[in-house]
Amino acid sequence: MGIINRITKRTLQGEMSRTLLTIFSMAIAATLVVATLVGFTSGQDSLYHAELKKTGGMQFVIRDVPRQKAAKLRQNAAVEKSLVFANLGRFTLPKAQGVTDPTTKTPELVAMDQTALTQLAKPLLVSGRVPRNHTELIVPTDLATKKSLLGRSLTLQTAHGEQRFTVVGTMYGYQQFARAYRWITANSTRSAATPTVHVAGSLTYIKRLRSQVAALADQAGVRPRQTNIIYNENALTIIGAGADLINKAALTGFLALVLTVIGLAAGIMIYTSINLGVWARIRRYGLLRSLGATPQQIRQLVYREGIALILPALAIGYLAALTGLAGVMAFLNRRFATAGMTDMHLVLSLHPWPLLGSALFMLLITFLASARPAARAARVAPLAAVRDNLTAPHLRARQLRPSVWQRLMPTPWGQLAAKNYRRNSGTRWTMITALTVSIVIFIGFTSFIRTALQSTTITYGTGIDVSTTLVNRTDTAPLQQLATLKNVKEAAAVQVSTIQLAQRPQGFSDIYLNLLVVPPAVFARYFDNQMTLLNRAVTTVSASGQHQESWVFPQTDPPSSLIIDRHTTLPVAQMIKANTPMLRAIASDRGGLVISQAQYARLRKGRSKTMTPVSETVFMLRLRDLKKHRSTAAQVQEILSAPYIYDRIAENQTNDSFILAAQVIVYSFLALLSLVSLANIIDHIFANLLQRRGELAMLQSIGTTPAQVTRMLGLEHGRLLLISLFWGSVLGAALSYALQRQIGSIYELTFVPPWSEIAAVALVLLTVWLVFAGVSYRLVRKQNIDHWLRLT
Amino acid sequence: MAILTAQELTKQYSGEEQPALNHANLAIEAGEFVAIVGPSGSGKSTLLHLLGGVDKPTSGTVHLYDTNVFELNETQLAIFRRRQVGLIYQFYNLLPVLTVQENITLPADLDGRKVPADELAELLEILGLTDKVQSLPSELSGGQQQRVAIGRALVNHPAIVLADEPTGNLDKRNSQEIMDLLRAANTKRGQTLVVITHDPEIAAQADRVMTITDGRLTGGGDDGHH
Repeated sequence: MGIINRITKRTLQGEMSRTLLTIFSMAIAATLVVATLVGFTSGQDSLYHAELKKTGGMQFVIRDVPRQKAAKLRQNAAVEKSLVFANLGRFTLPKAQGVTDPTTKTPELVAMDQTALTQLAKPLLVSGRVPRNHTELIVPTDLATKKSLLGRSLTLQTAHGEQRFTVVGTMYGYQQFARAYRWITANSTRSAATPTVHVAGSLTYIKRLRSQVAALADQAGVRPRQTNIIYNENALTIIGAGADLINKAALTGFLALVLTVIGLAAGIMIYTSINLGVWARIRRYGLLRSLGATPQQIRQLVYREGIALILPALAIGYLAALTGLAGVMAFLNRRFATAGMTDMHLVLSLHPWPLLGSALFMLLITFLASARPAARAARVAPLAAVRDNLTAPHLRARQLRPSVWQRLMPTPWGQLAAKNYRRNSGTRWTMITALTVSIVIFIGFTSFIRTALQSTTITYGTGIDVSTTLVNRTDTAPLQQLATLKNVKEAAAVQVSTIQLAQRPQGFSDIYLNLLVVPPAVFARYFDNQMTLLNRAVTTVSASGQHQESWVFPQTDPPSSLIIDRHTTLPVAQMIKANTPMLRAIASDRGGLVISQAQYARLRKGRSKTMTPVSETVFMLRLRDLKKHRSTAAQVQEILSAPYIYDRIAENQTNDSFILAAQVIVYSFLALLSLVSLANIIDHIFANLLQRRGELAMLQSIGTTPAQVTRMLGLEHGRLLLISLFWGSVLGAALSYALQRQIGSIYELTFVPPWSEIAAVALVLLTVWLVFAGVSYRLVRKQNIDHWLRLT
Repeated sequence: MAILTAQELTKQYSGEEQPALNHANLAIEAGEFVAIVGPSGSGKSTLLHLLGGVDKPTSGTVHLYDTNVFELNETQLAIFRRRQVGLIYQFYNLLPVLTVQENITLPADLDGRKVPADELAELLEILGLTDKVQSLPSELSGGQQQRVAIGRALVNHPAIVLADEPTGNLDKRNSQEIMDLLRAANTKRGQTLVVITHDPEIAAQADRVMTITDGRLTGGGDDGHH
């Protein structure tokens, strides 16, 4: 072991309590870094694989690969797994069937074997089953049709003539990746003879995925144009391999911001610790310089001290972070399972780069944080070994003048505290700056995240249990079937049209009014077969962050009639408040006039300009037994063949789980960040105390009691903590405000001063101050005065 | 032949009216034992630190052999100090975290040189520290600590050893033992030695005595007389 290493090791061993405190502080920072990087990549991996499951694990589809080249493509070493399905060509839908595909007039029909059907089609199935033979068909859910297609026969006009299929299943139509296979049948002899096939695949290595896939397509004779290769963007975006560069930049930017915050907190802590060490050892550096140590060797001494501290801290950090992450993931996985989120399963991913990156990041932070103290140490003159005046602070005349505080202090030790405070400006400002930055980070980020998380817990829903919106479908007949389901307590349907009034009634906000068109059963049950003005409450957020409720229509004196034009006036029989989940759901966002379907049909005649047609139907259900929500929702989906069913209970469970996951992650992050800041404060204060033991011994030797010395130290540090608290609170609140303003327009966040965070910081600082006073008193009372005087 | 010469060496501290050292000239021959005497604050230590390259003058030069010490950069100066100069302080200035042996070999270690075992054993024997090699400075008496400092000054066979009041913190018996050691290094090893002292008895043991008063050096030997 070289002399530099030996001196470093012995120095750290000689100050074991402080060394351990610093290692502990650094370990918290290391835990934060490892947990952030490993947690981030694990989360990415888990979400990526959950998303990939929906497409049978496939990352891309290369379309129209010549059949003879497909096998070679699939055998390429870069391809981890693949599936192939036949392209049966494009077709048109005869008009008489009343079905159109909103994405194209000439959709493409594909044929799959059972493996491809199971992997690609089944995960996206909304209702029904996958085809068993070439006469059966799966269709996308986003088709424009008046009635459910499930079980119906459809004729497709193909290049080989008309072909009849039976629709046996509907598949989620909004999946971007599935635009390569929206209309699917099972393989047949014809599909085995198509000149081209589509190849879905996944690569062994994700790096440079797009160029790898493009090369594969090129080799297979497919020009790698945008339309020829479809990527699973939903999955790839999660791991930063998506085509959307803005998304990728946002992901990188977010990670960079988090690492900057951690780096700042860790850097300040390490800088403070190393810097105090350098201040305490200036004489020693002077001696070494006088004995022939070069500035480079002195610099190495400081850097190696940083490295010697960070290495064990990193080991502890890895252990704590990985154990903590595993624990948090196990907890969240249990929660996801309870919420029925079967796709969601967090797995701890141990990729080399986040593991190695954490170490490199901490080493870099240590190196950067040690740079200034190291340069300071290297500048120490050899003469500092023997000349006290080189290590003592250079005081200006201003610093020697008594301050206001000093004059106000009634006791000698109070006056001495004021003098010390004023005359140790170098270390004082380092400490105030470090503390202030720590407090700014804590208050700024904690209050911002708390406000953001609070906004996610506000529920804006109607309270309806199950609902679905069928776009382009105006048939309300299935309502009867829904109402007869065993677990359904109430069922309703509504269609919304907008009508322009001839004049704005008093208290109305505009002349456009929603017409809430309901089937006869609903009109009778909820509205006594009378045209009813359904008033809806809306919640707004005030400037002070309070949620306020107001009503769309004036609550008193509703209009008795509404003038549509010269010939038509609609009588308003009553106005009721939408104060039950079902009425709220019928009222939609803005309330309106409830009319029957027959009234709507009469009203619509000749009013194509002043009235919009109904284009979608919303079905709403309240359940008897909420625990059976899943099976009822499945029944509703089956009956309506709906692309999406809103299941409030499942949604709440999912939301609660995600909010919980976000809270666990964010609060763990903040807790660790706060601990780093706290460790910094403790390290700073106690290092300062240990450094001044000789001075304290001298005060004791001339008759100052331990209590008086403690009061003097308490006054010095109390003032320092108060100043840091003040500036930290002001700047922290400003940071929180800036962050909330940045995203406030998107998430409707309103700035609320971070009083609770300021109070928490004040409480922590008060605790630290009290503990410090206790420790100081004990230390001063028990210290060997003679020993410390000799060392001085 | 003079190995160390100082010409017109002046040191003026900022804020002080009088220079701490005023146009000092001296020449020290190889193997010579020189004592510099003078009252407190006369500039003795300043002169010593300038000769050892620990401090820099306001004006003037110091040559060791043909090297102008103050033309060296920081790194060269550090190497110069550890190879050519042995410094002994009044308050020992040992590193408390290093053992006796480690303190002695420190200049060699800083130089990346390993002290041969027999050479080290001989030095420890001379210093009377053979049984204390693993002790820490805090476990030694003042006299023993100063012996360690002497060992540290001698370990690299420097061109010159500069001792600043080496006995100033010791009792009479220990003082004489330290002086015997330094004298032995001078006579047996031919070590050139400059000792600062205000003790006439110690000064009397030197080959030559220079006097410094108010920064002015007399008997510097630059004019050739001893």
